Amino acid sequence: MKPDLSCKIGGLVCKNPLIAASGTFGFGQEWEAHIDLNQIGGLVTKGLSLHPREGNVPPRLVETASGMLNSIGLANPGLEAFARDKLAYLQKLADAGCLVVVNMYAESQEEFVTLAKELCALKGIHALELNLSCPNVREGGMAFGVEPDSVLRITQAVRKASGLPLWVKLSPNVTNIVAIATAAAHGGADALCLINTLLGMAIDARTRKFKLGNVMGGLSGPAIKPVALRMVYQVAQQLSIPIVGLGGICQAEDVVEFFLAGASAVQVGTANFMNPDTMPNIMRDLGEFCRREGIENMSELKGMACHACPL
Amino acid sequence: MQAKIVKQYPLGSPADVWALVIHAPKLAAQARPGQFVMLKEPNSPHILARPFSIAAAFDENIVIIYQQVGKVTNHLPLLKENHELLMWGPLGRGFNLNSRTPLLLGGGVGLAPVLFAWLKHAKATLMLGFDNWQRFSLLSAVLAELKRGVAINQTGPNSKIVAGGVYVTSQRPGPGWQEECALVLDPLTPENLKPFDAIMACGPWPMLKKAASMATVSELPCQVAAEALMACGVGACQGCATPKAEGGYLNLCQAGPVLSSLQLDWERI
Repeated sequence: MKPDLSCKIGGLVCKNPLIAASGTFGFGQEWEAHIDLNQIGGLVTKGLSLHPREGNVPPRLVETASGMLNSIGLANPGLEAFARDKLAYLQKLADAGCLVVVNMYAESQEEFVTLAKELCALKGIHALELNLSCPNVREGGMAFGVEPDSVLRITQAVRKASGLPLWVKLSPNVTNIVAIATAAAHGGADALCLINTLLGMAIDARTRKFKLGNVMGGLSGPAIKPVALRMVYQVAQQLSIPIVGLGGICQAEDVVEFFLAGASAVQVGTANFMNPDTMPNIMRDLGEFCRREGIENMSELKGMACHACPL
Repeated sequence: MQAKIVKQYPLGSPADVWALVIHAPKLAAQARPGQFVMLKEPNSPHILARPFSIAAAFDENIVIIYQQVGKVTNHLPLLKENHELLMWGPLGRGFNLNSRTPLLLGGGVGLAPVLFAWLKHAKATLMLGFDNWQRFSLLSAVLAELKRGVAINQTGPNSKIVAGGVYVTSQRPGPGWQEECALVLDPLTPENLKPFDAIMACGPWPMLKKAASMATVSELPCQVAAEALMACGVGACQGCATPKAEGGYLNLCQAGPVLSSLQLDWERI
């Protein structure tokens, strides 16, 4: 029997649980020549702002043990160029059954509202992902995402401004993830995306220089998976809102683990850089895993992690 | 895409620079001088692929030239024939070779882009500079492998440059070396630049900067093959931001790695 790998995120149905994470997939077309995009369940665009952003001073990347730090700084062409140059391709993907989610970033609540309204008027977008967690920008971003009050306020405002399903992507750089998640859920989010990158830094011992132009950056990749898994679990224990899990997912077993912790779908980010075939490979292996384990539907796995046996 | 090692061998002395021949038929057929690949050993503990310029493409193979400079490149020489690599490409924009008599300049062992351009352009002049005279054998070894017999002219600051030749300079001449020490750009007097209608260069940023300003003075168009850290090579990560002339940044992987020198803001580089 062929296992059913489709999944539901609130009211949205996704043909499979693998969604390309924001910032690793551009606006889709970048990977066209290298990945069979029909294989992926969906994609989240690079963080989009109302006006173009140049991003941070280079160097912007450094590899770390089992991970990477980035300080891109939300470089993006802005809404106008997005609608003119990027949307048509995304609409083509949407027509082919790919879930298209636009990650949105702003420096103020008003700007978030304007952006949400404008995006809501465009065709071919299935959902918005509210970026309240980028560690690489001074205004907005993580600053909004670390206080429950501002998370509630901005989520509510964007919720009112747009009829599209609203995902809120949360920062792990907080003391109490459940409090933040609760605020987003109360604000009217349709799903929560956990987690964005962990704030980190790197220094060159010999030259004594910071390795990133922006000094600090966001840590991603396999190194952060246990943290992400823990946060998905903690939130899923307290809230019934759908969770899209992300953070270091590289293989089929990782996807299963996030489902067991309580996720309804996952995003794959840094692993796309590790191997452009990561998502097609996971799809192949996930089907095989489900067949071997007698799983008919991925949703059977959701929140099913249980305690280890005492020795 | 999957790719297999055909062979690899050290180039000259010291033996820390290697030519790696990789079987990748589709990629080899498409590759243009100046383009690059993202390459990774699939079992490496290092998660990111690294960009490597393509030095040559023939039959169904491509050649890359790498120097052992860190953990990733120190591991590469251990890999044997038929070892599978993870590789994607060819990526980026290569050289525009539509000039009659280009002068190709390479600084150091990162000479792959201009070497490939030279192999594809019958009238090009190749001029390479090395920190150490022993590195010359690198070029001889590559040319022998490619079955291109050619006279290599040892070159000093006052040497005459003739279109179509192959020239090498060194900062540290060795025994038997007839010419004075020189950086690769030293012999490029206005007189020596006369036969050329374009400059194409690769090497460290300070050298590219100097080559670009030299080209401006001589009113020659100049293309540079630049380098930057990158994670994807396709424009998705935006890690390879490079300062562009009109302010802001360009993604080197998409707009380059070969750029007109006029596209860059050299003050911020």
